Amino acid sequence: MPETQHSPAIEVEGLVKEYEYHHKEPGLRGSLRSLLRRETLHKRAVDNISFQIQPGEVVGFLGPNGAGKTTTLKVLCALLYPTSGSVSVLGHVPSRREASYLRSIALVMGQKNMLWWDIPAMETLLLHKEMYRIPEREFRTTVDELSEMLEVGHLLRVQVRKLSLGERMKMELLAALVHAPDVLFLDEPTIGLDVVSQARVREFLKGLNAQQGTTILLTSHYMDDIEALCPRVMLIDMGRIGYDGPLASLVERTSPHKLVSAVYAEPVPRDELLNAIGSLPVQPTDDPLKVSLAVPRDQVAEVASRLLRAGRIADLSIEEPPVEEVIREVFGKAAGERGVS
Amino acid sequence: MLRYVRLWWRFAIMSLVREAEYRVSFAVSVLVGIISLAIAVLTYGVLYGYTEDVEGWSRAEVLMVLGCFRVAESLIELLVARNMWNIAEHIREGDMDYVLVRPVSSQFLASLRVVNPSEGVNALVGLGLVVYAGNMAGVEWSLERVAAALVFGICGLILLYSVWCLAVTFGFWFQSGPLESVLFWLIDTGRYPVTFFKGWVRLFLMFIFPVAFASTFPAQALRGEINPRLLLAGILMASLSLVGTNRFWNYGVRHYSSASS
Ligand SMILES: Nc1ncnc2c1ncn2[C@@H]1O[C@H](COP(=O)(O)OP(=O)(O)OP(=O)(O)O)[C@@H](O)[C@H]1O
Ligand SMILES: [Mg+2]
Repeated sequence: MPETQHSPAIEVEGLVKEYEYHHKEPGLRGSLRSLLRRETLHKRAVDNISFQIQPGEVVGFLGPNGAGKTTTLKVLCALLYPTSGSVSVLGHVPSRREASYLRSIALVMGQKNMLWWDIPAMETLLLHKEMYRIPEREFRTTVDELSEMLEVGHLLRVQVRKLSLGERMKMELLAALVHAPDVLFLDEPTIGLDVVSQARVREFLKGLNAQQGTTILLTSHYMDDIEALCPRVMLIDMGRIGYDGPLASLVERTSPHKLVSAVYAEPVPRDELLNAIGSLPVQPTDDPLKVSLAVPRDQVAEVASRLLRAGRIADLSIEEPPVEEVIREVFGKAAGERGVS
Repeated sequence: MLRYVRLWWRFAIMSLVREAEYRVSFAVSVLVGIISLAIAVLTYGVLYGYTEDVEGWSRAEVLMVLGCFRVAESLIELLVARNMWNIAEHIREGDMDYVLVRPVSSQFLASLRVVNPSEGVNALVGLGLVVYAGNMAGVEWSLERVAAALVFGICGLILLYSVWCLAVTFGFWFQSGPLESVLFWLIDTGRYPVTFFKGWVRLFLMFIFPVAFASTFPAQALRGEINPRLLLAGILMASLSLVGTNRFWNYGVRHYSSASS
């Protein structure tokens, strides 16, 4: 079924995924007992979530450990059979596992290897060429293009086990993308990479989305990834979506303060300063000439002008609080509701 | 179909490239194969030290059965064994993820992607034994006999593959079972003509765990005993079991629970 121009690339409605597992008691006796009488338990990893993603969107999945992010991705990739709810990607129902569907998506998991360890990555690429039925010409140009973007052309014929973690991750991305998928699912693609490699991967994904219009759904625990790549984020916790929208509004909603900082050129009289600060909470700074205040959004202008008047100013800045902090706050709240400290 | 042959060829090349790294282990596995075959041949020597005929099989003919068995066993090792040993673990550890996401039969990928090239040599040695023992037994190598032996052999391989595949598919429900290793030991019964066994054991080896199709029946066909009904039964059983295992596999895949990572 070809998708029409305006239908969403991904449509999820009331998705539930429960895992079955067995309670194992510790020790030999416990093992024997559970052999005889196995209690089947259910873990609801994804609990009735719904969302839509339009073609060409880049969406970030945010959530604490065990939130259900990976589970959702695996359902979308047809690895897991949904317990209930409906899922449609590019007009296909993933769980039917049609070859035409699997050909149009790609999955990269930062914690798993798709490349064969003992042989050069090129061999795996050739395997993908066969599996995805990529014509020779197309294959050559795609590999050239991607390896140039990722700067790994010279490593294609080196055994995978001799590559560094960052190089290997880039190679995994290359292998996942040789068949030019329409939708790309990424599960923590930058895990364990250094800051420079992380930035490279981000840049690459950004370029991919801009040039090919690839729809991307990614999870990451690195806020830099999310900030740089995802205009839209979905917050998931305990299998439910708590927020779905632009990252900026999430920050605004969660943290009604902005950070106003002033650096003075010379020490300011104590009274003047206290007057300017009023009852606002002061953030610790390491510079005796610097004052940082968390200011409610509607008082920012007024407070800034009071600070300006208090002394000879060298620098004044008004910032959003760091995203990391906001997310920590959101997750902390969620954990608090769960009764976890 | 052709596509799957090409795909398998890629697997073979990849496995060879990898194996070239480990030339010593390649040589060792060939050596082990030859030694174990030599021991088996000697065992028969002892058995036939006292008699010329066991259950209607002469010494040379029994060696033919052994040769056929070696060819079948080596081909199983060459094509599927390494994969089958790993499937249960792959299911448990969630390593099926990258198999199930490909637009190719996941059963094909999971059961045939790792090729063990060194076993090719052992298969050739086995074939050599068949020819040598056949000549000793005075076999006429007519087209009809060879073709029938081939059909039996192929059916036998498919049947053994199916039984094994069926066993590992249970891994989607029960994380792992002892079933696979039992099967692996059972296959050794194929060294002997199936007529050495009596009653239900013989029926078991012909129709439930049909190793007889891979060793005894091809040897019988070469001897000139071609039972058309048995041949037909083999073809039917092989086709049905291929369809059956595939259905069962695809049903099992729905119960794959991956692993948290
Ligand atoms: N195969 C499985 N069997 C049983 N329970 C599982 C399985 N996989 C995941 N779970 C459980 O389901 C929940 C969601 O797991 P999931 O892997 O989707 O979380 P996640 O959001 O990806 O977390 P993380 O950030 O740690 O990767 C967890 O509580 C986990 O324990
Ligand atoms: Mg995860």
